[in-house]
Amino acid sequence: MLGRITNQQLLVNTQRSLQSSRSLLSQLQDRVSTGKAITKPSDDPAAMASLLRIQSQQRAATQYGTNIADGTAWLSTVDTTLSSAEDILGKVRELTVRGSNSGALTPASREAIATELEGLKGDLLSKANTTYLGRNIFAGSSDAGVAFDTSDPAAPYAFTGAAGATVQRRVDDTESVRVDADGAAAFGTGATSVFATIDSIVTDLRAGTDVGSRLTELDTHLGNLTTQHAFVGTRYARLQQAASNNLTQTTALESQRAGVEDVDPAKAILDLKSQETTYQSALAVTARALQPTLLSYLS
Amino acid sequence: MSTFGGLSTAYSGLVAARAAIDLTGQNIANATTEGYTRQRVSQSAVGSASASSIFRAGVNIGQGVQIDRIARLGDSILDSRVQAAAASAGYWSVAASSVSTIETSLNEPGKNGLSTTLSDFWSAWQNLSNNPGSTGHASTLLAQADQLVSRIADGYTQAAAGWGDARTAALTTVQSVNATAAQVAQLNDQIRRTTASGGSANELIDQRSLLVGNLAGLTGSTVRENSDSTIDVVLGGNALVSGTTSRTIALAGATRVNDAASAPPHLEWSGGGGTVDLDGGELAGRLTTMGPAESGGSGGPWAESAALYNRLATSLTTSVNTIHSGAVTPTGAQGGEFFHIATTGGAPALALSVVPTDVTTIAGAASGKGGKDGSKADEIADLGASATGPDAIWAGYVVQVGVLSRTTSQQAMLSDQNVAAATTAQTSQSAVDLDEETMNLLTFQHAYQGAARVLTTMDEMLDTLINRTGLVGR
Repeated sequence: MLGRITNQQLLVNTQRSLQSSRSLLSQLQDRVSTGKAITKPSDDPAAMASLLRIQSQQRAATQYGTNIADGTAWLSTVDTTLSSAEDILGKVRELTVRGSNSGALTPASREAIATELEGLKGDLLSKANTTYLGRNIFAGSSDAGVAFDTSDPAAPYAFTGAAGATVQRRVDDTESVRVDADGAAAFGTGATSVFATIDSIVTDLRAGTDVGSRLTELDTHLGNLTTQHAFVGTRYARLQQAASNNLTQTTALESQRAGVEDVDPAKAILDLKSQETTYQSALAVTARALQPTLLSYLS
Repeated sequence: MSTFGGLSTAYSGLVAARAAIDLTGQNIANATTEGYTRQRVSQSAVGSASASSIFRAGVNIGQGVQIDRIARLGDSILDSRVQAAAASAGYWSVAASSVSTIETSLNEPGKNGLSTTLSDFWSAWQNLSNNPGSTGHASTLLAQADQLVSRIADGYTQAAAGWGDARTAALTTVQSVNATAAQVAQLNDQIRRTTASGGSANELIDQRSLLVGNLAGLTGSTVRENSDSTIDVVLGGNALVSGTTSRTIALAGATRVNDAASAPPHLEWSGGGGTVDLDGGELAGRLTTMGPAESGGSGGPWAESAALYNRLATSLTTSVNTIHSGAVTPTGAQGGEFFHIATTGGAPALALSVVPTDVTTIAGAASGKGGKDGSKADEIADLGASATGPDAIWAGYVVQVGVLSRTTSQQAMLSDQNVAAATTAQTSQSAVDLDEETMNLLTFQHAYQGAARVLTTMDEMLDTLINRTGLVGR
């Protein structure tokens, strides 16, 4: 069919092939300068689907990282508070043991022990009402001012938290970790609370009654505290594990993203160089092929 | 044969050679003219004046050369191939460019895409869930929600504007089709008259071919040749140009993207001739891009884009409101709507608004769990990972547009290659080759010189005969 090659045909064809060579060159340049293999969905729709999924997982992972850090801060506060509460309760037990030596103590000594116990109770109460960023760490999601309310003399040490209203932090798509501690379980509520027990010991001491029998009660409260402390420890460990998982996942996601979205620089630059050479030779060939006509050779 | 007969024979050769040289000049002058088809002098030998008879014997020499006509070396089959390819290329280039515009407007992948805005919105809920009742986190959430609402409205507005642009372009194309059809009819008239009076209408035919080629690119029209050298241009089975008369077409149907479903845009014959069925071309491409949205997502890309933003608005509203209205505010009041779609606002994407104005009206707590509970806010934040939620709808759409853009641009590239192949074949046949014309120039120059030499020879012969004969013995 191509019996006849005309000047115009040669020109148009050359123009077209130069144009396509150049558009390929610009694509490769774009790829090298942005470092991205996918700059729009049509570059690779299948990879685009993975990329969108990976990116949303990456953003979620970042959010979970924030949640875990926040949760860790909560649990650290709970942990140190429970440790101090245990120390205080230890001292209370020591004083109670001293106060139970009923025959050897003068009323003045008893009074001194009672006063010290009252002071320790105040300390313990303030530990139980510890707040983190303005929130009670032992009252769950309650918005009351304190976890253990002493304002009503008729019902002292009322627990303001609601059952089951816990503070949770989401650590991944499926799991939330509790970052507060159950104040009612740790300190007891109302008349059965550790505070009420200390109050009774104080009253007994002043009345001259033997307080040795209260030790069992105190031990139960100490047991409750350590049990809650152990729970906090487990959850803290769980959070640490989640943090490490989160880090692993973040790294894995980033490498997945890079695999899908980023170009291999060495390959991209090599492609660009070879395309540049192709384009330059196309230009050189065009310059030679388009010039001659018969007219140049006729005198 | 008379003594002077040879002179006129030589003269006819001179005339023919000169005409051929003139025509070569015309070809060379139009070497780069768009649509010009090369021409040749078609000549034939003139036979002897009188036939042999019993009274007259001996050889009879012909009487020179005559120019029959100026032949136009075009090929109507190659022309129609170019027209068909142009129709398909016109269709796909319009389709590809509109999808590619939508694709660019998605801003995906990147920090400016809607997927990032959605993620930020869910993150804001998560942060509020971590810090229930916090004024700062609440205002961040409201700001993110406002941004989301305006992004969705923007997306819809862009889609509506894209549809409007497509319609404006279609209107312009329709005008240009009508004007071109009228021109073709006029040229038909001129060509018919020129041909009838024996003239050469080659240049007019070139012009008409160019116009018909344009029409094919715009509408996918086909050509029917008539015996009186006029042509009919046929559009979906009906004649747009019939001989020396032309009809006009008009764009009808919806004027906004909202109405595209109830009144799909279409073409009509002016003066009530029913719907025009296009076989391809830019105009068909425009009409397709303006088509209504369909359930499978295979409708017109602009309407699909608009429908997507409506779907997003509805999905966001439904999913967030379901949880939000079941939750309580920090003060314990029942939460109402978080997003609201005004029923009078037309498209849901444009009628979407955020209801809460500050922390006291955002419900993120479960009832009975205290004012500092954030479990419901966490539940809302988790919607981002839902397989049927707004994020999934958006991601699905982005991939769908990506696939569509890829296939349409591939189609556009293929049809461009078809056009290139058809045009190559056409120019191979009809374009001017300078080398060839130079050779023709040489040939005709020599033919002219030869004829002139014949004249000289005749002249010398006659001179000998008239002036030098019979002088013997003088």
